[in-house]
Amino acid sequence: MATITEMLFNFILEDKAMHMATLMELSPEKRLAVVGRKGQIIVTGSQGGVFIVRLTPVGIFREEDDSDLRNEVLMDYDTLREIIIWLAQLGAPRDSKDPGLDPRSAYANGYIRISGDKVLYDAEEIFAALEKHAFMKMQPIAKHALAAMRKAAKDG
Amino acid sequence: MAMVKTAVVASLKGGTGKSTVTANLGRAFHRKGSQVGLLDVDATAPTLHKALGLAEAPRWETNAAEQMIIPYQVDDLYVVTMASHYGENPAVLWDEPTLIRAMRELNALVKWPQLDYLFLDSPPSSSKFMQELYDCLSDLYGIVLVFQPSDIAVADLVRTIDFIRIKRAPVVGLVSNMAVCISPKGEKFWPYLSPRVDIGSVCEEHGIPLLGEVPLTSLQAKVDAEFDKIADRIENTKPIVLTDDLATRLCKAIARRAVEAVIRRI
Repeated sequence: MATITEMLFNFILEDKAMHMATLMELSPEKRLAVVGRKGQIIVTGSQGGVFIVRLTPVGIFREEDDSDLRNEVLMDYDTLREIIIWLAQLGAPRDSKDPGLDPRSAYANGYIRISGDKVLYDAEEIFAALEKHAFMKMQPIAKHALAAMRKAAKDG
Repeated sequence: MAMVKTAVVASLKGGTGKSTVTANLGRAFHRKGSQVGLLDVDATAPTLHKALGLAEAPRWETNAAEQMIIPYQVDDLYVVTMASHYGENPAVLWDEPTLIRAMRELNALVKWPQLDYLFLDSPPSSSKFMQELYDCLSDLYGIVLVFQPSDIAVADLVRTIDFIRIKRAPVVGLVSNMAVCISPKGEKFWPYLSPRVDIGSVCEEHGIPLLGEVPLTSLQAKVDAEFDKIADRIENTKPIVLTDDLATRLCKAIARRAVEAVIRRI
């Protein structure tokens, strides 16, 4: 059975219209620079997963081959869950008891590790692309994911 | 093409005003017509942007073609700080190798314009991070020491001098910061419980330039005037490398002055 992280990433990877819309919002220079990049996302824990993804001109696709990775992003499932809680509340009054954690704070706190040859540069590009272009588009997915997570937690 | 003069603003003691001095040095050199860059390398507690009057550091802009970070501008100064990268609030809990790698990357990834001066606002530390910082600044012009002339600051000044001696880094001089408090009415007073130490005479005895004595005051014109003099002295000073002997004598002299200051208070 797929883990919650796998289900979430499958949702995100299926939404090619969102990928394309985000890509088209980038400047032509930035788009040229990022298309073709390949990275690995590792979410540890029983509900985690490993994803190798490549950004192509027509969206993000999953791959199996782990050669030529530009970056590796590592976090545990609890961190991903906190980010989803944060994202689900974006633009709305935040639940003071359960505000979640924004990705930059998670990174500063050391809960997200990013590796690569130009970590600062790449991390900045990733966060900026998420903040400027993708977060609001991903929010409905985050809300669904949060509901699924809470249901899974309730069901034990 | 003229070489940029890179100077580290340093003190092993926290709270001496390194960020404020860095910002004021930048402004003073800019008033003299220099092109100035300011880099906050205090990765865990960056405050340079606050000293420049910003509530929040703007996010980094990136140059996609060259994959570099573009400095933002404040009052015609070019500024880069890690606060732009992770925001104002989160605690930075990176391990030391990660901090060192980030500092090395930052030194290599910024697309500075042609600068005359680059001032680095450094953390109050002799950690591996700071040792690596000096090692990777192959073209370091010199260190600007920042200290308060109080007995409590002196112990860390001695340690700072010993650290610089070991790293064989050139010293431009010392800024005696918050040297006296000036009220809005112009009254001067010593605001600390810790006794005042005559750092100036120690510097003079041992050949370390005392670059200036900056008052703690809301009268910005007085601060600017002092930093204009400091900038002149920096321009006209040849940095010195502390020999083992000079550093030892200097440390002893500073310690002696501190003891004298305490005795005078009894």
